[in-house]
Amino acid sequence: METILEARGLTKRYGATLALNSVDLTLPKGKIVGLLGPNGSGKTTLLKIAAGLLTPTSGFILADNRPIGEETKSVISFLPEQTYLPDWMTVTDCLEYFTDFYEDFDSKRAEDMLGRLAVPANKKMRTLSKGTREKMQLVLVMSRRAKLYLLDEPIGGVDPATRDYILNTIIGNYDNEATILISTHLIADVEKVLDEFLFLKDGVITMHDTTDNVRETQGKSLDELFREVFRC
Amino acid sequence: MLGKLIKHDFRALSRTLFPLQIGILAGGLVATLLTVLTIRLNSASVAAHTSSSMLNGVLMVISVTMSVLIGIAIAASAFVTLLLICMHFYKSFLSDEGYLTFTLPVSTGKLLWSKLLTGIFWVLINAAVLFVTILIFAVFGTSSAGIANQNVLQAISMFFTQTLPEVAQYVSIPLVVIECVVIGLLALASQLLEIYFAIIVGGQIAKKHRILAAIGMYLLINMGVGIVSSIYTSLIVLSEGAWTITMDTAREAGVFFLSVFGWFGLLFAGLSVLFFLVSRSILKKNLNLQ
Repeated sequence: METILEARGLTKRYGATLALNSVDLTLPKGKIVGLLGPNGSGKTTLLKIAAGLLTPTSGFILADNRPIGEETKSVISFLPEQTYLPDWMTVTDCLEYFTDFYEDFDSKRAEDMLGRLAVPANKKMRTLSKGTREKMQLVLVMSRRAKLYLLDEPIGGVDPATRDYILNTIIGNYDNEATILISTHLIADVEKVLDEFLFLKDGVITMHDTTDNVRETQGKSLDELFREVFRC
Repeated sequence: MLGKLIKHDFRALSRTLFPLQIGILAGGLVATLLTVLTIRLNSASVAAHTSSSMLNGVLMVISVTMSVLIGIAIAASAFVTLLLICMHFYKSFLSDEGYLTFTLPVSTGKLLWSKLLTGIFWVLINAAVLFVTILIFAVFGTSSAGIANQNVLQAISMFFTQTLPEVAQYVSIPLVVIECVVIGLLALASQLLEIYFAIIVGGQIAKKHRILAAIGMYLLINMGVGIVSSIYTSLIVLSEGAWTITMDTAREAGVFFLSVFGWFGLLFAGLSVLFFLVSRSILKKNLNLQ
């Protein structure tokens, strides 16, 4: 099976804190993978390193068989927790920005999704609610025909209806050739869409398996297994 | 991709800098009108051999105060322009917007080039706007009779018809102009890159109060650059034979200064390359957006 993301001995330190501890990881193409773990387990750090926003302390990471850099950024679509679109930009400005920089950006798809959200094209980001801005970012990120999507807590801190919208958007725009790595601690909500999962605890991957295997061999849901593994 | 980066950086900066430049021009025109009004009121009082009436006095105080305030605002606009350029750099690279900037499929070098070129462009626009504003004030705001001040117009005319031809006997004017433009651009680039470098290093060493850290770093770096520049200048002036050259003729003096300016160009170019390469290296190898 072809690999889209590979890490070996990946380590990240913030001063005395070890955020990632010698992580070895291989993700295949065409899968939806859950990056699961409690707060502070290193999920965001792993995603940011893959997106090229953090530099690892040691080890290496390859995306699409290339070191993280200009080329990998053209095939990776990253959704951070932060709202990163400039306040002064209008919806149209954002679409133009993504069209200019990403060859794989499907503006028609984005316009359709935004139309369903009923966000006026001339609205500036600062006038949109936090929830709408988050949806806007998700639409932009998922409107790319990327090879790897890195989604950092896309359903954290939103109401159940929005959660459904986000998950439907992710699934509805998912290309079978692409891989989605989605970080969350809301296991029950995403469990149904995951092919594989990674448990991350204190910067170490403690388990990497398929969701089907967990159900078949252990007779448990992923949510139950998570609660068991990460019991305080 | 560099063209696209420049387009979007230009658009982001134009949002605040374009209205600012329009404001400078408008403020300059208001200051010009108020100053003309003051001069005319004063002249009228003198011509009538009467002391200024109460109304004239009040109008003059208001006019002078307004003109001075507008003048200060115009002078401060150069600083505000530079501040807005730096804030744009900070926001694009070190705030949450950095998540957008650094996930673009472009090289770090191109990101820096775009910020540098758009920054230089707006500083030059600001300089041009200030020059035009001051020229309008000098020509139309200082005249006590007629619309334009004939003395100023004559001085400008003399500069082109007498001064320049005289200077041209000793030095090549096109060469001087080219040298001044190139050295000016290099000086501007090195100054902007020094500020960008301070912002980047400030962002690296501080998790909170990054702007304060950047200001501190700038002061520190500027001190270092000042020391290096002083040593360099001394060496250049000595090597150009400042103690032995007679400079008896204007030609000798012209050649000496052109040569020294050339060495300054080299210093600015060196500083620009140094700040650019170190900034790029930090962003490429040690980016840590948290």
